[in-house]
Amino acid sequence: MKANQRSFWTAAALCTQLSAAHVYAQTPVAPSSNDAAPEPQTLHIPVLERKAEQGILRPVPLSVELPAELSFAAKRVLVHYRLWGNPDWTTIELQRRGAKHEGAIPCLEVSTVTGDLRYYVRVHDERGRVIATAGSLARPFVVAIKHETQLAEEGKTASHAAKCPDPADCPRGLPGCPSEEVIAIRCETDTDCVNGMTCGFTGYCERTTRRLSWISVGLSQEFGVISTTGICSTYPQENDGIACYRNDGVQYNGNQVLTNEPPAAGTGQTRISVGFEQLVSNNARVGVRIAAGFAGSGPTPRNGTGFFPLLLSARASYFFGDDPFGKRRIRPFAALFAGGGMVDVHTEAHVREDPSRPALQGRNDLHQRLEVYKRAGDGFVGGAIGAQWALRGGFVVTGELSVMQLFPFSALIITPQIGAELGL
Amino acid sequence: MKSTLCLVLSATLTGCATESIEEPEATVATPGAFVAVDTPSSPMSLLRTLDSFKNGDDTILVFTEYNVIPDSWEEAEAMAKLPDLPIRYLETPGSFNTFTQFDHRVVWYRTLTDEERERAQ
Repeated sequence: MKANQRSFWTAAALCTQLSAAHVYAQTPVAPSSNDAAPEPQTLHIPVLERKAEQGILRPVPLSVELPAELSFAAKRVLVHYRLWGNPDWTTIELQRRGAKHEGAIPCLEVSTVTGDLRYYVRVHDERGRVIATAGSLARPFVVAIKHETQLAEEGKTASHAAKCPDPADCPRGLPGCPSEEVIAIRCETDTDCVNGMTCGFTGYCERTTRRLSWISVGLSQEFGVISTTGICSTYPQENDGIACYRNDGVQYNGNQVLTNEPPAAGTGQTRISVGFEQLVSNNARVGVRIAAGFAGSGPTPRNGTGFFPLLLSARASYFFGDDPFGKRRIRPFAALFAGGGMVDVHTEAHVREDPSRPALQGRNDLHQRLEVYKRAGDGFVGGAIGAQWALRGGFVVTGELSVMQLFPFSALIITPQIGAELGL
Repeated sequence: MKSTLCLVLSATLTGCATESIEEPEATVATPGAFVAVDTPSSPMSLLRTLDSFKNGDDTILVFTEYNVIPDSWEEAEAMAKLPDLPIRYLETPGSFNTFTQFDHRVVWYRTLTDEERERAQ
C-alpha cells in the first residue's frame, strides 16, 4: 500500500472453527485512471484468523465483502485454491450477491482427503487488472480438512448443516451447488495471471509453451526474370544497370538492332541470411532480416556502381491455423517484406548487329549470344509463402518461396529458401 | 503468346517491343561483310569486304580473300563464322560491276577491327 494513500484496516474475518471461510474487507480506493495501472490493494486479514477448518466431503463456502468503492470497480473475484497433495492450483469465480461475492470450493474437490486446503483471492477490474488481493500464492489462507471426529465442537455443528449428502448429486454450476470452475481469466499482463500461466495475446491467462522471439538462418538462391529486347544497346548499359559481355570477355558496345526478344530467366545471388522476428499475436510475427550474397554477382563495368552484397528487409508474417505457435505442428505462412539492396541477375541474350550503321566496336558478329548482367535495386517489395515444421526444443525448419520486385532498376526475383529457426 | 507475356510483364520489365522492325542486311559493299562467290571457271571462294569507294559509275571494293574452298553457301557461312581463317590475299581490289556479274551471296557479317580497317587504307 502506498504511503500517500489513506490507510484502512480491514474488518476481515476468516472464521475459525466454522465450516465456512469468510473474508470481509475494506480497502482504500484506487486512484481512478483508465491508463495507469494502480497497485493491487491488499485485503488485510488478521493473522490469527488465517485458519479455518472443514470436514471431509463438504464444500468450503467463501464470501468476500468489498468496500463500496472497490466493489464498484471489481468485475470478477477469483479464488485460487490448492488441495492437500495436489500440485496444481485451481481457480473459481465468486458470484456477486448484493454487496458480497460468494461461492464455494466444491465438496467434490474437497473429497475425503484430509490436510490443509490453501487459497487466496484476487479481484479483477473490467480490463482484467488485479485491483485487490487477499492472501497470496506465497501466503495463502488455510482451511484444515479433517474428519468430523477431529473437528472442533463449533465447526462440527456448522459442518453438519453444510455437508453434501452425495457429492455426485451436486455438480458445479447447478443451482445450490458450488461455483463453476473458471476456465479463462482475463488479463493485461503476466502479473494478472497465476499458477505459472502467462497473459496470452487473446487477453486471457494461459499455460503455453509458445515462444515469442525467433532467430533464423537461411540459405537461398535467387532467380530473376528480365526483358532482353534491346538490352545490350548503349542506353540500357549506361542507365539501367545492364552490362553485356561477349564470349571473349569484352563488354559489348555495338549497334544492336531492337529485335523482339522474350523475357529471359537468369540466376541471381546465392545468399545466407539471418533474421529476428517477434511474435505479436497468436498468428503474426514482425521482424528484420539481413541476407549476404556470397556467389553469383557479376563484374562491375568501368564507371559502374559496385555491387552491395547485403539485402536488408523488414518483414511481417502471418501463420495460418488456430494458435500455430502453441503446439508442435506444421505451420504454413505468408509474408510481406520490403527493404533495400542489390541483385545481380545473370542471363544470356541474343543480339543482332546492325550492318547499316558505322561500327562502334570491332569483332561483333551479325548474331551473338551475350552474357548479360543486370544490377537491379536499390529498393524492393515482395511476398512469400512457405511452411515451418516445428521440432523439439524450439527448433524449426523452414521452407519458403518469395517473389520480389526491385526498383528503380527493375527485376522480378524469385527466391526459394530453406532455413532453420530457434524460438526463445 | 509473346505479346501476352509482354503485357503481363510490362509493368515490371523494361523494353517490351510490340512490333518487329525490318532488320538491316549487309551488302557486298558493307565493310565487314563475308561474301561467297561462285564463278564458272573456278571453285567457290570466300571474301571479306574491307572498304568500298565510288569510282565514276563503278564502286571499287577492297577485299580480303581467304584460302578456303567452300562447297556450298552453307559451308561458306559456317566458315565465315570461324574466328580465324587462313588468308590467301590480305587485300585485293575488285570492281562492283564486274563482281555482280558472278553468282555471289553475303553469307555473314562481322564488324571490322581497327587492324582490319587499317588494312584497307
